[in-house]
Amino acid sequence: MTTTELLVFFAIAMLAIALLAIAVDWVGKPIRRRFMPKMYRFPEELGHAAPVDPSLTGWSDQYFVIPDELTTTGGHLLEWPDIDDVMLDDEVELVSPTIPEPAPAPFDYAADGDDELPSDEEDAASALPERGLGWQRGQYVYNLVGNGSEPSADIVRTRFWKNVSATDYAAVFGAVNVDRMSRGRPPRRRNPRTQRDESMRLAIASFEEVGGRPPKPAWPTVEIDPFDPSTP
Amino acid sequence: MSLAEQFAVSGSDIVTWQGRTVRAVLRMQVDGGDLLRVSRLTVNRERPQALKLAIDGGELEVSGTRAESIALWSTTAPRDVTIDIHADAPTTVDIWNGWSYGGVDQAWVGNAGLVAQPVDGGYTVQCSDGVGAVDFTDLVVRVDHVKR
Repeated sequence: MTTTELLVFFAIAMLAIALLAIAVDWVGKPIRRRFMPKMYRFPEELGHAAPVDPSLTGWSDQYFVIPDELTTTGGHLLEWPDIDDVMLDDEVELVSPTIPEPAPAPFDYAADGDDELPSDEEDAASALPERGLGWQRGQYVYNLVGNGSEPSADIVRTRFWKNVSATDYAAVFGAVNVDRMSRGRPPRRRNPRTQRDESMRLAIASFEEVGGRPPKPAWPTVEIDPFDPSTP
Repeated sequence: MSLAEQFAVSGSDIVTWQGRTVRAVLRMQVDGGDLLRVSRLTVNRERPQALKLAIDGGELEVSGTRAESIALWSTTAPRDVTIDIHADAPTTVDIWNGWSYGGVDQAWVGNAGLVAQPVDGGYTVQCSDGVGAVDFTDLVVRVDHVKR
């Protein structure tokens, strides 16, 4: 084989390898995806619903104050791995931990749900808070999940309790409950009247239905305030 | 360990804290036609406090509202409140305290508990809400039991 033939053969081989790489890159997205160990992923990023207490049936104010450092993009409590050092291997789009946080605080109930949504549909849509993509502890519970879809009620509920667990107020529930909430589960208490344990409940409505307001938790037992003007 | 945790560990509604008998709930024997007169003596103004009452097998009537359980909030209820007991037989009224933090009603968590001191015709009830250290001045009320 002459030198010319050898060069032509080498050029053809290199071209074939390049075309193969382009094809694999085009077809096989995973090759460009970054791997992220499962232990660092939240349930929604694993593509299934988070475990939620089945006793929860739903319901839903500003008492949970997220520490300033958690409402920023740092999220240090999570010890999220450096996003540039990891790879994703599933269908979840890479979610940057530096997503700008939307305006509403996760537990801002100052208006206590009395705000009326704008009557005009267009105004209502424009009044909705901007949502980020993906979620880390301390961020807005209604953020879209990593693939851009709406978070399910279970995901919002799980995010809510994880956020509460990171607040100063969480301590009032006790260490056991802080641990429960850090795993996305509601706090429990002993009801001395019924002699039974009961879980705090959280009704989750859609983002649009509540105008972006965060859900409000409550205990199962509710007493009537006879001096509240809204009491029938 | 918080009062709520002490209640849980002991499996009782009564624990001893620094020599004082602390209750999760105070139970009073009542009968139909009796009255309970509640007077708020002091209240922590950092957050709304409530005295909660519930009757077992009957109704409580306050200011024209009848219900099995009611909450007298420091932000809405007058200082002195009279409660009519509606019951066909002798029963009990449970009394405990709650508080609101940012609009969320809480009770029986953290350092929540009450100390009931018998006085002539009733009790002086000193309540600690669950937030922060035990403080039985968060809500102090007097509950007088007027029998029919």
